[in-house]
Amino acid sequence: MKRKLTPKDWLDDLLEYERTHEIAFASPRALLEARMIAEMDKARRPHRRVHRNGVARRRKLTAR
Amino acid sequence: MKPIIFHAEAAGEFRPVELTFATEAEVRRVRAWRKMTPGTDAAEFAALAAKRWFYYTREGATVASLKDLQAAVRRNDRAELAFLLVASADWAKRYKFLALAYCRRTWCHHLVLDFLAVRPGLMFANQPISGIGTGMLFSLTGIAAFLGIEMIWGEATGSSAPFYEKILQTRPVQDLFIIRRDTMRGIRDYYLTDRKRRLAKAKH
Repeated sequence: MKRKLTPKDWLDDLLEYERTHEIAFASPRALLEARMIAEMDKARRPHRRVHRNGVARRRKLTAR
Repeated sequence: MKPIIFHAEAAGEFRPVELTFATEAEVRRVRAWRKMTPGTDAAEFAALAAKRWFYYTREGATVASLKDLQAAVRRNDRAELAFLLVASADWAKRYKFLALAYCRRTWCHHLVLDFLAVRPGLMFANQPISGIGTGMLFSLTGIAAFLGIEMIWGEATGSSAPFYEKILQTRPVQDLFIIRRDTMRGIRDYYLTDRKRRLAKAKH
């Protein structure tokens, strides 16, 4: 770290920056990997049957 | 190790914030940021960081404390281990967590910062809370020093580069930011010097 500012100016500058900017940073590679994991999870999850109005639910066949 | 404490500015005062290693329950709370409206990058990154944490946990590649991290490295000095740090403060209880950082200890004992997100819209006494991101980075340099880690690095983007340029007092930061041991020491010196001044000023 090249010490150009005084500690006070350095922290003032950072506090001002944080007041005016969202701190939300992600490494592009980490982001890609996390999105792939999310997609994999989605694909692995069992599909839920959609029960629409007016459509009778299937019943299990019972032994007669 | 003592609790990891940094300070954030809230309503004109420098107030303490605690940083902890997240356990499963805490990671679930972080994941809930995705329900915040309107959607933000921080919320998306929190949910994805949590997703990644759960994936690595299934593989046995996460730790939930500094002690666990040290023990895992003792067992295998080439272990690649991930952890999620979460920041919280007693004086800001309405927010369970103020921020998160997803990090990895690499096989060669470096620290990679993959996600850094501060909860958007943090307010205290109707004023914005500031300095959480800086405090998180300061704390990471402390963790690295404690563990004898020589380098913290990460990929920068167009939106994060200006922040790292300010922290590191160097320009330009491009695809990568690299914080070596002397720079870590510089950040800690600067942060601690000014924190001392601010806290002393608040007492008078």
